Amino acid sequence: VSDIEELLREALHELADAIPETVPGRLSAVAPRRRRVLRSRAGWLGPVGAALAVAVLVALSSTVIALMPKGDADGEAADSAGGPPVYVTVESGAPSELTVRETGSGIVRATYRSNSPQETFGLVGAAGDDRTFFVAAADSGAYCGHVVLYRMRVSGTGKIIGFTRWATQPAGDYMISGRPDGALAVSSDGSQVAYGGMLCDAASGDGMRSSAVEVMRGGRYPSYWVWHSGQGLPIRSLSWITGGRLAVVGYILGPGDPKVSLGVRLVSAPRPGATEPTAAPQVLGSPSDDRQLLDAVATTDGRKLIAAVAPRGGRPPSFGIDSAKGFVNGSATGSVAGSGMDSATGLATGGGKPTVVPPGASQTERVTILEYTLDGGSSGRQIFTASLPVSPARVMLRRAGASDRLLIVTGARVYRLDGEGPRLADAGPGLLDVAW
Amino acid sequence: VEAEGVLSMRVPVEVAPSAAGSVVALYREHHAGLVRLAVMLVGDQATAEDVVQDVFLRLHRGLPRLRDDGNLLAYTRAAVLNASRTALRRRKLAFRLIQPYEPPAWSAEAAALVSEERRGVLQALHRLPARRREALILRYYLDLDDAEIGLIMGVRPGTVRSTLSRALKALERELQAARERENDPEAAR
Repeated sequence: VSDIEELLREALHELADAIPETVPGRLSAVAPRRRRVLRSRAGWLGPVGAALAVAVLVALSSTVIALMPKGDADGEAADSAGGPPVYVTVESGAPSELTVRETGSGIVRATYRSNSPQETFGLVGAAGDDRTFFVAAADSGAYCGHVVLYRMRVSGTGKIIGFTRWATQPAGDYMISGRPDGALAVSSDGSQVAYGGMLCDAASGDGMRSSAVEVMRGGRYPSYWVWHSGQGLPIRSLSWITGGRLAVVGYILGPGDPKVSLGVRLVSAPRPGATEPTAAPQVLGSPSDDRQLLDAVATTDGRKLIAAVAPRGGRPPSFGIDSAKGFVNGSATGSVAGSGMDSATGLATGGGKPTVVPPGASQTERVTILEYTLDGGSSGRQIFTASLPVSPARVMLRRAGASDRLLIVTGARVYRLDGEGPRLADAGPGLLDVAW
Repeated sequence: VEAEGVLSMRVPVEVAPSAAGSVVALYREHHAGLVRLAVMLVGDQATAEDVVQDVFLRLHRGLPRLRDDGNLLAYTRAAVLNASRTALRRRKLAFRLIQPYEPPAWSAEAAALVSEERRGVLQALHRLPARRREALILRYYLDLDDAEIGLIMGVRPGTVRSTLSRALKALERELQAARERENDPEAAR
């Protein structure tokens, strides 16, 4: 074998290794052909090309439906719903990139990279159709600033077919620390997105002195606050519930209480401009419980809250509270809201050297799923406990559309819960769809 | 009889119930590899995915008359090769007015290759005539023998051998010329 042959072989194999694997899940899903977007030098080619492409796609789609198999002997049935479910992540080391992965297998179906290297993505939420995603972005160099919301549509084959700037959060500057921080929830119909975070103090430029939840409705509609707190405590998760209300999970500080507790409050969001008084928050737990909240989500009817918690494993609390001033002393752990496996990174101070801890990461080897009744006073009832294959491992809960079926994300393992308890359902990263 | 529009070579076309299962298995196991092969031929992943999707679409169309005689992978590779040639021909016409969405995978802009030397090899490879380029990719990426390459390219094994021999010499000349251009840009003009 000559040098040139060896060099050619190495170059071809290196190129092959650099090509991301995009294996479609079902053969039938290949049929609706994805068309590349071409940038036209000649202005007239754009609309003409688009019209031709639409005509071709319509014709092709009609053909494809006829070509789709009714069902193969090995179970490869036609997928009229348009392919496997997907989720969207912002992954470690690539804050300006979004990755669309197939639910269950974790296979990458598509990626999107921001046109601006200064823009970082931080929170992701899905609408009820599981094909429309909302992504919060911010300036990577800013400590305080606006959050921009993008709407991304994903096709049945997992390809990104639309990415538009949907809203710029204008109600106030939030602490973003280089990437959107806080919590984000998308209404089931995708018409409203709630964003919660800590507001920056205009005078000092400091964050953490107050928290707020605002609702964005896209494009020409102004956003509005639905809740505003004088305490700058982290908001950990938001859930839309019936009646246009929001369940806000975060840290709370009672009057004269020096200790910060984990709590949930139900917030009405009836109309723009109205900040409704809310009922007193329901205390869920305290940092002194030696457990940390990984994620929480309310059921659609607002009657229950499901929370994933883990022992702290001897690590210090993720943040401290300055009871005299009433705000968080030091950087707080970021929210676990969003579908991102590594959607945000916070600093855990705990009085010592700051430690980078992915929000929602269990620092021990077990995770416990608790169920709270949102009637004002119940304590968490344990549903199940599962072991984690690695530590720390990211754990997130997601509600599937408008239903109360939950998706449980673990770092590297999938569990299925049934009447007999949790069972290992599959290897590899992915989501677990649980009939709760 | 030939399968309509699927391949440019003779394909057994008797009705066979196993063909559908074979296509499904082929799709599962070789889709990624076929996309990679197409990337090497056409230069970018978006076009390559289109090419492979077209091939499977046509396989669907020909399914009722397709029989798996053990060479389905070779037939499919041949179809990818043909579809890639078609894509490149279309591009020659269309790209006088329209830019490609993505740079070629072997360009510095794509940054798919770390080594400058390997990037240079692939750039030289893509300056070769299509048949020579294809023969080299089939041999040195897929490690196919002369008979297998001949089946895919629709030529005799002897022709494959001579094509490969000429292609390697041409590739060396291209690399040498590139080195001279790099060392003496003025002379290259």
